[in-house]
Amino acid sequence: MNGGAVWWVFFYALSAFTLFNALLVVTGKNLFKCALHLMLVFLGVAGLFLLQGAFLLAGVQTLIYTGGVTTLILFAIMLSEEVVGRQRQLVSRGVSIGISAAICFLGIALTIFGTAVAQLPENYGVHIAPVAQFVAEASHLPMGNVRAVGVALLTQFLVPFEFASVLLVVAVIGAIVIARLAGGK
Amino acid sequence: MSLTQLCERLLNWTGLPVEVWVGLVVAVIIFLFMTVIVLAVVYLFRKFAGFIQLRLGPRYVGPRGVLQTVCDAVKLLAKEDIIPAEADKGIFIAAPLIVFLPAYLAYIVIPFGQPPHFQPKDLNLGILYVLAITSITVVGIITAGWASGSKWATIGGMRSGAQLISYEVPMSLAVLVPVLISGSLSMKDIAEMQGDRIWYWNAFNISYFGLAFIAFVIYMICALAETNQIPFDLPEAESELVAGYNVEYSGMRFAFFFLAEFSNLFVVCAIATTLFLGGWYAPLPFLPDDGFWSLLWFMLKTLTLVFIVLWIRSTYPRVRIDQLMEFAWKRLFPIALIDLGIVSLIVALR
Amino acid sequence: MKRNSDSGIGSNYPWHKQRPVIEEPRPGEALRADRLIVNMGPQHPSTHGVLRMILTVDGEWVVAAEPDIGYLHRGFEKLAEMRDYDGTIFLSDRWDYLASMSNNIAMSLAIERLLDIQVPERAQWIRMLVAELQRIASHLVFIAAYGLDMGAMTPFFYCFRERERIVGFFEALCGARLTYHYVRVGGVAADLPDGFLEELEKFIPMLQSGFDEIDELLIYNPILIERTSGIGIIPPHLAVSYGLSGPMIRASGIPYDVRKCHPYLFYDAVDWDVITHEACDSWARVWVRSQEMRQSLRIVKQVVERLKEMPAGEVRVKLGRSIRPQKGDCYVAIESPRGELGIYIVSDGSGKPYRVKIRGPSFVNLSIAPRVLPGVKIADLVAILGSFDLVMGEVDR
Repeated sequence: MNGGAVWWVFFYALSAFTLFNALLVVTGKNLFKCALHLMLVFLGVAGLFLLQGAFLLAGVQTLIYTGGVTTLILFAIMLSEEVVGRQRQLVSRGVSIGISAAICFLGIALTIFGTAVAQLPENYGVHIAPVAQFVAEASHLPMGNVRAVGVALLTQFLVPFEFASVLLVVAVIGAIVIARLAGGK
Repeated sequence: MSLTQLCERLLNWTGLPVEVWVGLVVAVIIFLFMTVIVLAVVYLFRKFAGFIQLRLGPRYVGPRGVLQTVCDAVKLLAKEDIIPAEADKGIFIAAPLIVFLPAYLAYIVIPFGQPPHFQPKDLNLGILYVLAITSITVVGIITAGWASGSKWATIGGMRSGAQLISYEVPMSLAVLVPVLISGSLSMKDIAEMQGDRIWYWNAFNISYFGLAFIAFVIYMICALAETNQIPFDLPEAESELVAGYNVEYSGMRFAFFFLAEFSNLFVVCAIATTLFLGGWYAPLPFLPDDGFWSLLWFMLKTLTLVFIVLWIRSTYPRVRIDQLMEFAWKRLFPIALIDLGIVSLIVALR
Repeated sequence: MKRNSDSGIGSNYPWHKQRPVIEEPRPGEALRADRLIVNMGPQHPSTHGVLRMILTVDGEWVVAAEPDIGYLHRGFEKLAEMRDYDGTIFLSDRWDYLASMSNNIAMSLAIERLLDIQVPERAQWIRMLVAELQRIASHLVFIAAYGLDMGAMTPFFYCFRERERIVGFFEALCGARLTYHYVRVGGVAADLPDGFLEELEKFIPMLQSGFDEIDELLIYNPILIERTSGIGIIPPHLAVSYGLSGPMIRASGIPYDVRKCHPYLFYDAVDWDVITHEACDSWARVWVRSQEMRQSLRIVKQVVERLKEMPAGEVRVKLGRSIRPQKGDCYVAIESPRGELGIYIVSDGSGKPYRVKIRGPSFVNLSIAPRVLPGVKIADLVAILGSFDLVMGEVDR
């Protein structure tokens, strides 16, 4: 077995694992189990990041999504669900909307992906999407890609990065305000 | 036929790459090491707590009772496996594993002695890996509480979850301080940056005006909370919750929780040693710190920290749940943030 | 003795820190169905015995708390009517099983007042000695148990080390370690054994340093202070109107102590202070008890001095085979470790009491719980209830 083959085996196994769990998340009847499958999806995605050489992303994915977001979701479930009678039929009311949203997303993804892949062979490193470029450069750095990601976030992507943080602050403040309003009156 | 040849034959026969076998062997060694460490720490804790509390501690099994914890472990493994009728069976079985695996995987990057011999694998993301892996524990604990189908366990699980995520924040900030100072996330690099002079160790390095020491203290306080030790042992508050998230567990599954808890205690202290106390290095240049000496120094430092934690555990009362949260968010978090800010300023200006 | 006035004592304490009692649901709250009725006890690790609290909680806040008692009711008042006067003493051992000596003394004093007899002086000094040792032992148990409630395991062992030694002295006196039956009608069961006072004198400095250790470990521990100060506040006027006594009322700033206000035995002949604290909160109640132990030790020292000067001799009045007091009644109160322990006996002239009424301090002190507990956090419940130092044997009797 050569390295490339092993890589592909891992890639397909992880992808299958991730997709399988993702399917369980949306079809499962037990909300709590769904959340646990979601955690496995996050872990699978982290594994895929690892395979791409994006170690930092894999670490952050695990730290924030597996450790943080899953916990948050579990909390939300436990606070809203009653401990007894936890089996609940999950009814999706907007199946058609869901399907159309999925198709839209697929279209967007294919467009982006298609253009990036189409440009890849002849213009590698020039016209490629900037993120991919940084990742490509970063995988050769000795310190992993921490420094590259950090530099990228604070130079080239400073504005979106700051926008994201402003958005988060607004969300946090909004959550507090809503909680205050609900609790105080 | 020598042993090496035999091994080679076996390897060829299986047809798997050598790395797989090495990995498996390392995995088994880490597991054994972890078990031994936990048994030793539990025994020492019981003796130590006994000493503090005017008792004798274990005495009868083996010389000075050293085999007592082994006996207890065997007893736990031999116990009847009980799954409560109300419990959600699959999740109930999975929860101890979700708690145990991160505790086990965290051992991979810790340099217990001079690398590469005493460090299973040096990842260039070392400390981030540890933080990421151990953050999964919360999910396991909440899951355990929820799956038990008991109100007490659920409340314990939720308390524990809230506590763990709250204290993860100042802990991560405190961890970033040595990372900034050494400019690396690798555990090996961070330890090597500090070297074999005690005044260059991060905790005692005066060129950062004691800011790194503050980070060390914050880290240790968070470590107390992360490992559910008194004064932050609210998830297990006996007078309120009886035993917390693992109240419905018994036998082998309980043993997994127990193993994970004490193993985590050891791991957080080992990380503190690596990040702040110069890892495997001796405090002074003329003291030997190569080969097994490095292991000795590392264990010495780590166990000292473990003892400090256990000392606190057997001395203090418990804080209240809102005080716990307030302490994390209103005291530790701002202090850690300001500390990190100033350190990064110093690092940037140098 | 300075008596309470509403404005004077404790007026500088921030009463407003206590949450108001939630009575009327706030607007819009009627829709919320999250009021929960929770049972705490009688089998709960921190209700000390068989107290059952029926709590109504609104999220994190206690809205109403109703103690449900009677799980340890043994009918001592009725039992006493069926025994001769001597036989009631051993019943008293079992009211407040952490302070049997005090109960013995209360019952004996009441019967002696009915009989109108004078107890030998030496017996009275011995009674004082055992009463104060008993107070120390009882407060030690309180502090130990309170530490456990607050999650501190170690102070328990330190408290019990000292208590075990005191119990050892009691064992030397009467052979028992919990229910002593040492103080009898007309005196005490036996004189002090040889070398008792010398051993006790050696023990006093050890106890003193033991108190220092406990203070350092628990009483002045910042975490304990943080958890217990400012909660469970009982303002002085409330303490008086609910008839609290003992450390409970003294922690509310009112210097009421039966030993000072209505002295019995020789409490007016020894030198000691009444300990009060103006904070009126849980921590004050713990602190008052820790300081009272020191005062008790002061009394013990003086009593030992007196007893050493005194020749061994008569410790019990010779009474007939059956005691028949005259027709009449009397009320005698002593300061037990938990407060004013009162005995009211009615005699119809026969060999058995016609009626015995016990005013148990724990029972009266518990009565304030429904008033104090509403408006506190559930997490504080244990810290408040624990500071009442309830002994269910005495609440239920």
